Amino acid sequence: MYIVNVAKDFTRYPAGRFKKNGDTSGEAFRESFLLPALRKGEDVTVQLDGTIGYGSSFLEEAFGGIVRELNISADDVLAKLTIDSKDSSLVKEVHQYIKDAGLRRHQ
Amino acid sequence: MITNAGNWNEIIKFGGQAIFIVVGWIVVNKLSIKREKDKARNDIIVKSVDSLCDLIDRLFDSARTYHSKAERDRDAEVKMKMSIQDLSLRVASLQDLTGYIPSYIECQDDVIRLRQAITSNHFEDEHTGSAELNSEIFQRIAEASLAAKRNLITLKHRQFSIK
Repeated sequence: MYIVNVAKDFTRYPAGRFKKNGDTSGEAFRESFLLPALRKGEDVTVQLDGTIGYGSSFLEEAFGGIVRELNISADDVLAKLTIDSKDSSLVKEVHQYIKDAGLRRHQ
Repeated sequence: MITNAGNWNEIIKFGGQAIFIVVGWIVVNKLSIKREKDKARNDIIVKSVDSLCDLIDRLFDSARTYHSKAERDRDAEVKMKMSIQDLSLRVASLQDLTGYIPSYIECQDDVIRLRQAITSNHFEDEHTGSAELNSEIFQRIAEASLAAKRNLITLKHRQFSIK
C-alpha cells in the first residue's frame, strides 16, 4: 500500500492543470506520485486534506488523467485508488472525474 | 384494624398522587428540554444557511471579477479555493444538525457544481485573457450559485415545514 499526502509530499498549494505551467499542477502530481505507484500495481491512497484547497482543473487532470494515461477502465482505477478526505465533496468529485474519463475512453 | 387500613389507604392515595406529579413533572421537563434544543438547533441552521448564502454571494462576485480580468490574479485564486473549501466543510457540518436528507445531498452536489463552474476552465494556468461576459463560464457560475442558494434555503425552510 502506497500512501501519498498531497500537503506533505507534494505541496500545500496545488494549482493548475498542466506541468508546463507549474510544478504544483495536477499533471505533475499524477506523473510524480500516482502513475509510478499504479504502474507497479500498488494500491494507492491519496490523502487530500491539509492543502489550501483544490481547483477542479487540478483534480480532473490528476485523477481523470490516470484513466487516459494508463488506458485502463475507471473501475480498475477505482479498485486501486482510495481518496481520503474529511471533505466528502472532494472525494465525490474525484470519483466523478475518473468515471467520466472512463466513459470518454469508450467514445 | 379499620383505622390502620384507613391510614394505609390514605398513604397509598397520597403516594399515588405524588408519583403521578413527579412523573408528570419529569415528562413536562423532558419535553421542555427537547423543545429548547429543537429551537436552538433551528436557530443554528438558520444562521448557518444565511451565512453560507452570504459566502456564496461573495464567491460569485470574486469569480466574476477574476474571470473578467485580463491578468491572472493568483491571490484571488487562493482565496476562492479556500472559500470553496470552507463552504464545503460548513455544508458538510450541517448534516450533523439536519441528518442525511435529500436537501442536504443536493446542497453537497451544489458545492461540487460551484467549484467546477469557478475552477474547471479559465482558471490558474488556463487563465489567458479575460473571458467574454456572455460566455458559458459566467452562465455556469451564476446557475451554480443560484442553485446552491436555493437548495440551502429549502433546507432552512424545511425546519419549519408543516408536518
